[in-house]
Amino acid sequence: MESHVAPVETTPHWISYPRFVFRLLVLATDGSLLFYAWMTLLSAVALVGANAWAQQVAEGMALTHMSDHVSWGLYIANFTFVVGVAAGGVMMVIPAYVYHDRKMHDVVIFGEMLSVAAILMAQLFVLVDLGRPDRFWHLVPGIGQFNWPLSLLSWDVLVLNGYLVLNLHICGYLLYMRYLGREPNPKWYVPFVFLSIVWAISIHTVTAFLYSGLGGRPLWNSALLAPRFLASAFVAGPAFLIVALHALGRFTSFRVEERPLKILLSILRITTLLNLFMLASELFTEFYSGGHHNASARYLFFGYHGHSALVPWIWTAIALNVGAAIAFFHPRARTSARLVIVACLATFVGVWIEKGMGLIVPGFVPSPLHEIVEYQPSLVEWKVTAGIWAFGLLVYTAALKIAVPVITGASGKIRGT
Amino acid sequence: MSQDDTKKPRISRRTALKVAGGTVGAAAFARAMAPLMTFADGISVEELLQDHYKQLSSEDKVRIFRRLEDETRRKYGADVRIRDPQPAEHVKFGYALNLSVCIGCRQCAKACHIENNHDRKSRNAYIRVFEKDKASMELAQATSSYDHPVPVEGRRYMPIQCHQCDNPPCVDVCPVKATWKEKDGIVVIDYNWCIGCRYCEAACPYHARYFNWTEPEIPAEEVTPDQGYLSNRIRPQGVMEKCTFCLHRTREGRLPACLEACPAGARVFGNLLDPESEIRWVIENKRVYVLKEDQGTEPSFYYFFSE
Amino acid sequence: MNTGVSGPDGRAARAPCGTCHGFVQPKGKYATANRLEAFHKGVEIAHGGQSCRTCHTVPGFDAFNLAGGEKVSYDEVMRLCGQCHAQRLQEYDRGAHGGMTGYWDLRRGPRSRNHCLDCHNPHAPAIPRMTPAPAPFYRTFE
Repeated sequence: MESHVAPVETTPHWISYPRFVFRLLVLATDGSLLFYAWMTLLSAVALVGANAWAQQVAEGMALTHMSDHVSWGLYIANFTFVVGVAAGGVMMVIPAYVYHDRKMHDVVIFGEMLSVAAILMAQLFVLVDLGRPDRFWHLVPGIGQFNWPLSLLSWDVLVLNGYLVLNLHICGYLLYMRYLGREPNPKWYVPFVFLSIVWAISIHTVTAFLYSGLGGRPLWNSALLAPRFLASAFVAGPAFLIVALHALGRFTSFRVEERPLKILLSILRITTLLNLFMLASELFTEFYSGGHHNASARYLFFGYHGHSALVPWIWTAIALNVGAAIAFFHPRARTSARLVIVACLATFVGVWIEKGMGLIVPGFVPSPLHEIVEYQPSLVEWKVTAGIWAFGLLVYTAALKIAVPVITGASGKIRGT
Repeated sequence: MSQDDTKKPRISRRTALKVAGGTVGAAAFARAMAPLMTFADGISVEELLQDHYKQLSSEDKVRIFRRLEDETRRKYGADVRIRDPQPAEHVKFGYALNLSVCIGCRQCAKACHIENNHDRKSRNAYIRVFEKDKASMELAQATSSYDHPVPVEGRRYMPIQCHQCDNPPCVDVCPVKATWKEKDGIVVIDYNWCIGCRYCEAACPYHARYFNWTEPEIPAEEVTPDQGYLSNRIRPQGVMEKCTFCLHRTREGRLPACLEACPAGARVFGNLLDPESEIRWVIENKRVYVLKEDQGTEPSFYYFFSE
Repeated sequence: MNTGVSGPDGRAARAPCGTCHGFVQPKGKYATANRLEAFHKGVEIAHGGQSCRTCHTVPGFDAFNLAGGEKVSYDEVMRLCGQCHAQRLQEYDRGAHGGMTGYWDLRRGPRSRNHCLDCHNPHAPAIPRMTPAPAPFYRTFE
């Protein structure tokens, strides 16, 4: 690694920083044929999504299959899920910084970049769900009318944007220091890292409070909702990170060490069980005494008055989560990377279903006046959702493309010399 | 990356391809977002930058109402008058419904549909009428899609509309303060401020808030011309709407459209703060209850029985 | 005897027989409309098992009799209805029955009320069944 070089030291930041950003751009777009193919594919899907959204804005949200009965659907379901992933992305921060595990430091940045990509996706999911996206400026404190502290959505705006800035700062600072060839000053990132641990918990708690504060929706109006959200976030985040690390090992020169993978797996062992336990607790509370307050839960798990569109979904999700939990504890999980990857993918999908089809949609069925109108997303909704996921993967791939040279110490490459 | 011996800088093939790819991408993005132009055309700059209702001066309001009336003439071919009646002092509206008398004919819903300029295709109205057995007060046993001659022996009919709650969950959750409770008790929406996030629709325990999933379509001759800025003017696409107790009528002292339409005389409306009013007499002398009292919403809409 | 209706206090209203039968023959020529020679020959009475002379002065049919024997003109027929349906009449007087159009705030405008007979046929007063306006639209995608 190059040590301090005089010309770099004397260059003021307002010159070297734009150069650094330009360098990042070049790095992010440099790669193999496979890389270009992957990015082109993602861009194409993102464009299809953008077009579908533009159509939706022009012709109205009637292009979705939402209704006055089920007024939130695929978009908010995905929003809830990706906020969880953003929260779970900092899971690696805890062992690295709280337990002073030096070996973890190197891969912490991957988790933080996951958070950045996930938060951007979350904001896009909210944007596409707005009936009047041209009026988003009404949300800006000072210019619009910001209903803080009463409205939980206002809290969400604050914490999500704050979290984004926090993670961008941490990643940006560490990378910039490497670019300059300097040792990062702990004062400028360690406090922020600890803050991001607390903030990660807050973003998903606020998102849970969005739902659990509504007295008119008995499925959501439960004290357990915020803990459940956190438990499932800490399943989805690490699961994705394990798969991402293996993918890095497969497609790049980066070699992931055993230790971070082991730690993530031990985290998953705890959090998948916690997630399942909370599900069991919810099931018991809903169904033991009966009555009409569990109508939504009955609709979700068993069908209600002949309507049962969500029943196969939720039981699939439960099967995936239970299967993954068993796999994580199986002795073969210690040796077979393939088993772990499959289990991670399974539980990622399982949590996605559980949070989306398994929480948002059934909260609206039956309606507060006990009318039953079911919901399944329209093609426009699927396109927009796929587009946002593609965009998120685009951002994350580009971020990894930048971060890997940093980790492998090829900082010569970063500085373009 | 190849380098020439001369001092002339050369752009590598890779860079050229990247720039070309980026240009194609940007063009494709512009093309993909093209439908947004039709949407943008329908919004003037003034509308885009319009301030919250509570920040508007009277000159602003005059200008805005003129603009809206022009738009209505252009889009719907109807001449309308948009007013902004203010709440009166010492007035708090209450509404009561006689469950012993309601026959479930849905004339109130039909009158609401017409008075409030709802989209014709959706057949929407702010009132939903439920039919249930006399034996149970539980909504889970009720249906709103009945289609047979009414009234049926042994059944009760219960219209439900916005209760203008004293502790409204919808007002608390709006992130931009687009909905609020006025002095005379009516919970209103500024249709030009609402961002369409539908959080209020999720929060309402009475299914009283509705969303404009499309641009409303109404034939010119069916448009109700006497309109209120906060009540029955034709709402744009993508915003929330709800029952306003016909404030364009009631703030002038008139009865709401649903009450006038009721052939059974089951509805009672008036000023809760007037001790001589009909609504006060009903609440003080009849067997009265409210829906979902346990939610703590404190509705201003009451249900009562004659017996 | 039980009148079959409840009073304003919610309890079943009872009336002494003499309220009605002090001055009128209990049975007679006008028990049903079958014996009418002119006008309203087809009238069916579906009003609590009553006869023509419960309300009408017979013969002549030019006025109504209240229970105490007092005669009231056709203009004041609501007082007659209110004898048995006192609770309904009370509700009507207090604006809680019968509907209205116009103004709730009588300082600003008038109000127009219905007469009992605007909605109720006195011989068969139950409101007949009607077809309701169409049900609201539900978005379903089955």
